[in-house]
Amino acid sequence: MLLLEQSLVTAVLKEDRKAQIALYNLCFPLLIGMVRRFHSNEEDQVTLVNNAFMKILKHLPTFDDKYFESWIRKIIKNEIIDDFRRNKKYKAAFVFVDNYLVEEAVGPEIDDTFSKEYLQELLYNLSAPSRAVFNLHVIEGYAHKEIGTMLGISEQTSKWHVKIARKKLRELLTKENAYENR
Amino acid sequence: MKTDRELDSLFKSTFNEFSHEIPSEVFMDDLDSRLSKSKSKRTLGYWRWYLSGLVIIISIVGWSSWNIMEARTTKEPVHTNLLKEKKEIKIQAVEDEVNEITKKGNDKVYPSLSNKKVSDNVVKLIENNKNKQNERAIDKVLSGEINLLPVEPRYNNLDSQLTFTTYIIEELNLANSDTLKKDSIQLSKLLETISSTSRKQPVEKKWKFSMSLLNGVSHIYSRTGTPTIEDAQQLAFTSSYTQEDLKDFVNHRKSIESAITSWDMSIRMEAKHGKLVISSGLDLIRWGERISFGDTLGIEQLNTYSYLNIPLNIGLNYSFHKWQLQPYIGVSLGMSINNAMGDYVIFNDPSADYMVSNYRANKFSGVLQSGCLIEYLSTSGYKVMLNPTIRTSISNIVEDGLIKTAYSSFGLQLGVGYQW
Repeated sequence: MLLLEQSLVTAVLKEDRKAQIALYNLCFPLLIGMVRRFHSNEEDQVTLVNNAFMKILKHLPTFDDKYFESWIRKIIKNEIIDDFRRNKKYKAAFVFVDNYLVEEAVGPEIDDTFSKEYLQELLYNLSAPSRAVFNLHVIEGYAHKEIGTMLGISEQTSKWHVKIARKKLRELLTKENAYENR
Repeated sequence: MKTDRELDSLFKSTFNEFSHEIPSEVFMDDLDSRLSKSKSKRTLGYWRWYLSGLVIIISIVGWSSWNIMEARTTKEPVHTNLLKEKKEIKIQAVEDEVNEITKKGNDKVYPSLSNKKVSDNVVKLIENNKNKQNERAIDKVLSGEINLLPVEPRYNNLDSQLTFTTYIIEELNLANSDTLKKDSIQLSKLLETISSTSRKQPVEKKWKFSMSLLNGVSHIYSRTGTPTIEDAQQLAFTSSYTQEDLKDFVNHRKSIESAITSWDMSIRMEAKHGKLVISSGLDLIRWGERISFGDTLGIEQLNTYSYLNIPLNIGLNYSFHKWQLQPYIGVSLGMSINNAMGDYVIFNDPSADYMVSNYRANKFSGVLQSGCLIEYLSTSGYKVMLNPTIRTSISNIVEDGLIKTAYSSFGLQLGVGYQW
């Protein structure tokens, strides 16, 4: 859990550049960790992480919550979602589904000892909308209804993208397993 | 890993923890430039307010000091100043004449003086200027009660008459009597009146120009384009809010938008011809719109829209001594130079999870305006001004398909200027 020391906050509020950098270093792993799951492009990552950090700096004087980590999570999540909403190309890439019935899929047994970097690479094989919905639902734990609200899509569309993402990931993991077992 | 749950669990457990990571140079370079930019932007912001404050202070101090100087000037006895001036310019000539008369010193001259009668023209002039304050002194002069011994009142031109009156005053001052001294003061007022009529009026210039700097604020008193419930629903990007929430949102927005204020700075160039006044210049209008929907949607943000306009006003000028009133009407057209959408941060309301701040300021800015400029113009050409204005926009401040914001506002500017 991220802990924010009062002395650091005081120094940041005085616009001490060293303190600002120290705060950036503190927030960076969480910010980049989340952004990286959504965007593979470094330019996008820099923009989103630093946009979020500038908002943290701006709103730090009014921050009175004890839970710093959940606060910055919310800021970076909103920044990512906002980017999605602003960017028409992402929205156009969504496949909109009206009626979709969720079925539990069962695949072959797969070894689950994969590195974080490898799983990250697998996520980049998904389309941007599917990756976003999968991230929000599976990793961040949002319900489909909430995701629909955030991204301006229906609940059914959200479910469909998660299903497609799972299917693709399962295929890739199975392929990797088969390759290693040869 | 057979089921979806197991697959999800693999990703969730892998990505839920964040390992320590140092930002690369690309991140640091971008951050560095942003931090420097934000600092310089803030510094500029402070300067803007310092400058505004300075203009207001200079205006107040300038106006006060002119008034104080004016008061000091009027406190000094008018006749003293005039006498000094007259003494320097005229007395010598008259004295020469008097000396000449005295030199002649003959009975021909003296009887006319002892006769103590003034010429008809002088009588007429003095009587025309007679009032309650000076009638006693004038009666004394005309009746011959006051000794006008050294003066031969035969000079019918105005300068000579002034000299004559100056001498009367001197005589009265020399007389060792309080009553006569009072008379002398009354007469000095008469002299001032006559003196002012004798001054050659400067040729009135056909065109007068002035340049001024005005600074002030304005406040919206009515507006159009508050979002409908349907707009609010789109704006909130959610179907999960109830109709009641959305009604609250619309009502909040109505009340908050009626509290929009702007900072107005104008450089004004003015041309006057008789009563007609045409003015133009440059208007910088910066609207600030504070949005706070903490109760309903959990949003807090500050949107600002800046416009640079070129105004064209036509008005009439009415002068009342040093005060001038200029009612005017005009139009101000320009472009949006900057619009900064506020950032939303949601603190407390878990149900209000997300809000997009995508309002867009309109690029074109058009305003109809009218007002009444009140000026205090000093004799040296400097002036202080108060400019109450009413504006009605002919274009929307914000135009993004959902929100269309036009407005009417009342503003007040304070300024300083120079007329030549």
